[in-house]
Amino acid sequence: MIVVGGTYAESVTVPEHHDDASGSGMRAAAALGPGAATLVTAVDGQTADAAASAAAVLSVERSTVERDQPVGFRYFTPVGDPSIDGPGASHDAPLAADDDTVLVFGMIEHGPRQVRARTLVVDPQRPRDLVGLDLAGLSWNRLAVVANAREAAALAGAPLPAAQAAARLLAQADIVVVKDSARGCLVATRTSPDPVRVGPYPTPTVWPLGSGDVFAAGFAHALDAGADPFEAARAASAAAAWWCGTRRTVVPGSVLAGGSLNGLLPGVGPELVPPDEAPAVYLAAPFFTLAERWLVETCRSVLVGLGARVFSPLHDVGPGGDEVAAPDLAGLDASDSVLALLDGWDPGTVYETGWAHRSGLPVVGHINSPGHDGTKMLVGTGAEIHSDLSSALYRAVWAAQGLPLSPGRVDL
Amino acid sequence: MSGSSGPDRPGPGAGGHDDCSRLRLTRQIEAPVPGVADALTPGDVLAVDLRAGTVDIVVLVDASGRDAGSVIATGRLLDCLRQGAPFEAAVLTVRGGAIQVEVRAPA
Repeated sequence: MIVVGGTYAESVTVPEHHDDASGSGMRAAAALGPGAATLVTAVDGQTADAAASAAAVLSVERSTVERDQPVGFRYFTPVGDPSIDGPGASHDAPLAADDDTVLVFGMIEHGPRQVRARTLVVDPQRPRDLVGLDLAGLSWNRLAVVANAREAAALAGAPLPAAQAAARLLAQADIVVVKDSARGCLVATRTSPDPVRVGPYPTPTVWPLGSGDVFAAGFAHALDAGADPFEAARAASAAAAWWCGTRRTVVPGSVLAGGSLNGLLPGVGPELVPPDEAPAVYLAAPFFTLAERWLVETCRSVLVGLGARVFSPLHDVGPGGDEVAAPDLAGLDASDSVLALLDGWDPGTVYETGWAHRSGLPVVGHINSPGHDGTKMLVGTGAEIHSDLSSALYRAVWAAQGLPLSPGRVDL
Repeated sequence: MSGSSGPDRPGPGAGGHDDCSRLRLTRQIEAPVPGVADALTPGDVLAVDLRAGTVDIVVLVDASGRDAGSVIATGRLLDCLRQGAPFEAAVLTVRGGAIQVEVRAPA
């Protein structure tokens, strides 16, 4: 198997100290284990050193071409869209691959490709400005497209729900997988065109940055091994869970082969079967200052991206006086879980968590210091308190879909 | 600033030990060595060793001098280690076979 994809620097502002030298191609090739896949990629003089070192540590065989400048992704948090350094990078020599199975990621660099595959898996990997499937220089017998819900809608040419986008994309590919974040993925094929949902495997903590790369790697690997697309998606979902829950690059062979995560990843849940209707998350948070509003906006946007409906008192009721209490609590009662932003210990937010508990709703909290004495009542009544925002967001959506929480304080 | 013999690389950290002493990276131990890595517990501190070869890699070494595994380096970490800046890796969490460390300058 061959992986064609990028080798990029990645930096994250929050949480700190998570700078990396990886990128989609490197991460995917490495995920499959030493020597399992060859990476075809582009490097430049400035980043070649770290890239070669990473490849050596991970035992990834590479075929490289030279690009004219470095490329990097800078994330404020792992759940946000990145800023991209080097968007004008290019390479002159073609990225060439010929194998039974080839996984091709969209890349930042512009340049020629010469790819021939019996089974070609394409992941467009474009956070914005995706207007069509770029298949230039690629040929195949069987084409699979793996895209996230936003990319799938862009490729379908309309803001369609994931299932409809998947069905429409079958006009362009034999197999379509739409990654639906905290709701797993949808799989459709030309012989089974009704999309089938494969659930996620919830992990105690979630590092989402790069999970799509590992998912695509697991999917292509399973197809290469003879799995049908639905089995392959299930193995891919488990592989992504391994990455999200451990950040260990190499996925255990048993997981890639479709085996269980039990015994390998403490605290991982069984496959979550998402309900047909999008889960509703109540966003309990103060919104008095610019910083608080910014965080509410970010969390609301991410929760929607994860597949949730969100009731946000700021957005759905608005600021006001005593009269906001009743509609706020009506929205709370109609929700499936609560995400509480606890920094600052806003009385209204804390009140809402107590109301939620009394109403039988699961509560996930985010706070910078989960050990704070004030978390006692929350944890003592079943809440999960996370210091990592990504983990809190995912766990809130999973809780809204029926995942039993594990009361406690969790650091990344 | 010292260490001007390092590679010409823009951005923070290329300047020498002063910058290197502020470098911190959270990493997972890759290619963990059976019998060594699986004995690690949170709070253990490993030495960070630049293993030179055709390609330089960063290896973590336990108190008995045994390799525990490797970490993926950034260009800056490689530069700092080549300049002789000291680093250690403190074990933060152990979850199943996943061992998270913080690579940092010794206190």
